[in-house]
Amino acid sequence: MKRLFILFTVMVLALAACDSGESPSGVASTNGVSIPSNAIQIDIVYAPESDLYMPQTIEEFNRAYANGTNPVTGAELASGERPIYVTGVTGSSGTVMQGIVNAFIAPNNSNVVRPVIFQPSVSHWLALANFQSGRQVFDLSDARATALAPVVMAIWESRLNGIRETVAERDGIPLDQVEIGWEELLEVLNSPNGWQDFGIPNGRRTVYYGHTDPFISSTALSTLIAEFYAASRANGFTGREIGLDQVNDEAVQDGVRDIEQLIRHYSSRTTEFKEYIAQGPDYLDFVALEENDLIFINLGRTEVQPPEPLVALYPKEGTFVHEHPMGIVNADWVTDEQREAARVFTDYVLTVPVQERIMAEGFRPANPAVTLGFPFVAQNGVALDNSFLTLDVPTPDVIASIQQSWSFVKKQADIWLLIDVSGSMGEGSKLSQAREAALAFLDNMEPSNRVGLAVFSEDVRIVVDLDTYETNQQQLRLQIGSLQPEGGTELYGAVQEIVGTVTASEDSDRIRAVVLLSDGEDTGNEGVTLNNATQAISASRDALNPVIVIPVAYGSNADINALNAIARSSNTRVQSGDPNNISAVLDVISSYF
Amino acid sequence: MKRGTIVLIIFAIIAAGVVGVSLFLQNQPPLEITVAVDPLAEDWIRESADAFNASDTLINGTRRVQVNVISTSDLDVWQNTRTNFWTAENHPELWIPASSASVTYAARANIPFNVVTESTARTPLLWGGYANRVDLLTADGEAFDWSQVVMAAETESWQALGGGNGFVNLAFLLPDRTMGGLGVLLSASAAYNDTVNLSGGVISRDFYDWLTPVIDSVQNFNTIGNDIAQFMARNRASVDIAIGPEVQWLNGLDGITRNGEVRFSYPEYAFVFDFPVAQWEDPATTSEELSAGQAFANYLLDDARQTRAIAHGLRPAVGAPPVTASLFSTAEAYGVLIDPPLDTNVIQPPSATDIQSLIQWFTTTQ
Repeated sequence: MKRLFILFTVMVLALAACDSGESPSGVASTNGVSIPSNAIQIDIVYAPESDLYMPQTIEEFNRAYANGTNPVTGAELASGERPIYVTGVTGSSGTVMQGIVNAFIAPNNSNVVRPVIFQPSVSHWLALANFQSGRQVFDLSDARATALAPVVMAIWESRLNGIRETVAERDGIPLDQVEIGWEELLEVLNSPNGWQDFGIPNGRRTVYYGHTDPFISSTALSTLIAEFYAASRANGFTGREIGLDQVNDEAVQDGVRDIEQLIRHYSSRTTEFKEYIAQGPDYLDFVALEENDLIFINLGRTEVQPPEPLVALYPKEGTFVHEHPMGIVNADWVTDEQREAARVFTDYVLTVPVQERIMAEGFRPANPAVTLGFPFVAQNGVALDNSFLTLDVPTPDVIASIQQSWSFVKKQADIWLLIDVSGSMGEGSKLSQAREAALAFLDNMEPSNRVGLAVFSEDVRIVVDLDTYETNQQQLRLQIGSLQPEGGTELYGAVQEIVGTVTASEDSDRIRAVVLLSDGEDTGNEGVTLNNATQAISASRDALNPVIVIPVAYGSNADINALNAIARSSNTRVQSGDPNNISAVLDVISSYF
Repeated sequence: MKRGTIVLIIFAIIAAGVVGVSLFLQNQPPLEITVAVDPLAEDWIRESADAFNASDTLINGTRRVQVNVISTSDLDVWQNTRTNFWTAENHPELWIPASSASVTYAARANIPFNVVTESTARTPLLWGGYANRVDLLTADGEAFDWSQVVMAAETESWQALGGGNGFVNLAFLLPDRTMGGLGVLLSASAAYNDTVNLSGGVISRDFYDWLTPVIDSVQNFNTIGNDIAQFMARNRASVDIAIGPEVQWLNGLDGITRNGEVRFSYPEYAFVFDFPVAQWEDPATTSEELSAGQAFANYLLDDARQTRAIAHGLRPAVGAPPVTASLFSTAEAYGVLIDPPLDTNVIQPPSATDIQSLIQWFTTTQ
């Protein structure tokens, strides 16, 4: 009888196993989660800062479906309900936007992107994509916000308090009623003694500010638009929304140039600036960041720990809130079911648990059901409400026009290319790599920047005088192409001399930089030490435009310690001249200007 | 033959029978009908469809019905720029638009829907605003309604109205994409023309001029999305006063009140979303489909479903929600009424031609 019972049980189980219910079966796997064979697959390109939460969010979403559960409702998949599988990658908003536009208007371009979902930092990019492609690639009213991040000026607490106290005393108003914006920051710049006039003993005469590239970075684009607003208001504009009249107004453009004069240097990526400013007030006074980046720094997550807290300045003239919209692409590569699946994924990102995770990374939740909590606390330097003034988003043609204006309102640069042509650079293919890199660097040079060429071996020789690139580009290319290696390496002497040449020139309204391409092996006998070279660089630190030196190292036996010391003296970083990543390196170097 | 073998054979026969019957029943597909619903009632309709499907309701005593729900904005269906949105080959069997007017406009566009249930639930347009702003508008006893809002929009700055800094920021849903937004324009027209009857060519140049400052006071329509209350809750700095469907205000109340004290007010002339059920009827429509559609429409009106509608923040098709309905009773403190006058002063939408003119004007103005 017992045997019969076992037999019966086995058969019942076998019958149960014959049930033809549609449980997902895996055919492939990513991040340990199987892709159900009947899955609707979608891909998302998301903003770099979303990388703090998106991979985990995607993995949990996929895992739920792989386990037969709808991740939004938590219910088992209904009959006929297909699972969804999401893959994601990050991409700078501006680059991805251009890639999507190219998919329509220049499909053979090297930058073509065809995602189902594009989540930039801010919806400006979706509007620009529609504008530049001439079609409704994105339905903006259906691009739901998923994480909110106001653009702020991350400024040292001591600096902000200094301004506030000075303005309060001068204007005779209570401290808590002082409103600070671009107007006050420019006052510091234009004050005879700079920060010393604003309560910072031994403070610099000038103000150092930084932001990223508005063609790539959302923060930079929003900041540039905000600068146009501020300059328009300073020129008497009282309307709500700026238009082409303001953008094309020379007085307004001059106002933006005045603000850009505060720039110490630019950078392509926010990631770099987080590390730069964490070095302290000596390096930068304030930088345009998304609020979550400021929280990131104050939580001690940068490599360098900031010496004092940074606080968020929400400019009194107004700012933008980056809403990280989920833009579902209207294109023939997106099917209706993928579109619907994209909406389901958006629903999931807006669920309370995911929103709480997003908030933990320093973003304000887009789902109002989530109460603002840690890390939104006073000690992280952020406003605990959302009552800061926001600006009207201009129309796409105005945004595009502001973006295009960048080349003539940005701070121009004087750049010396200082190339090591010593005999050691002839070993392997170091010099030819340096030549190629220098020529590639010039490919993207703004015509109004001034560029000069100097070379060194046993002594320094100015080969092409500093002049606008528009004027001397032929000569530069010709000379770079004919460089030959010979003699010893008077590296330190060369750096000292060229930096001396730069500092002796007028401390004009330009970024002043030396791009040094060398293997870093000093063999000089002129008695100039590394210390002499770094002191020459440091000597300009209090100038209106301190000299920055960006070393690019060639060869595996490059003297990295020496080049690092040179880089540190102007708070830059040594870049590798490895030809395999020269394109990325050039992007980094170019973005300084 | 051993006893065990006999048992085994009998079991196999029984099992085969069970599996056969089961497979036969499984292979009888239920009659599937698709219901398109405006996002304003989507949550309630999806929940109702799940409950209906689980109830194993039979049509003609033999056929199960499976209701599938899709979300569709009213304007996607009938707006001229979106012709052929639904075709004879590809269409839902049922449509629950936000407004009965949409069925009329769809008929004008030769989309063959017939109303089978006049209303399944209701929700009116409602003003909402932060107390520190609204109180500036009502300080002299004026109503929190269109005339004061337009005055504020014309003034542009709160400082000029005796308040703090900042521009007057208004918000409402996109009128060329959502019925919730289009209703706002109709509400404005009723207020401007001082009439509920908008069928008589009341869309005029003067009205446009009057309303333009309001449009200009919206920071960015494109980022408002589909839920006015959620937008207001997460954008304290971008909106001071908004107008939108009551159902959204009720569901988003917690988020908004976290930003500050809020006031609600019903416009003098009510625009009421009434969620009728309309059925696609053409020569290919079967009697089974008609029966299934009617069964689901009837199901939405039963007491249990109407109670659930109230729980979702919608008003029942007839009468008022009970005073104990938590979403409504909580919002009473801020100006929501349990039983506002929704049967009088109800706006009668204009002709299809006028509505297209209105949409076109908005599209070129914003």
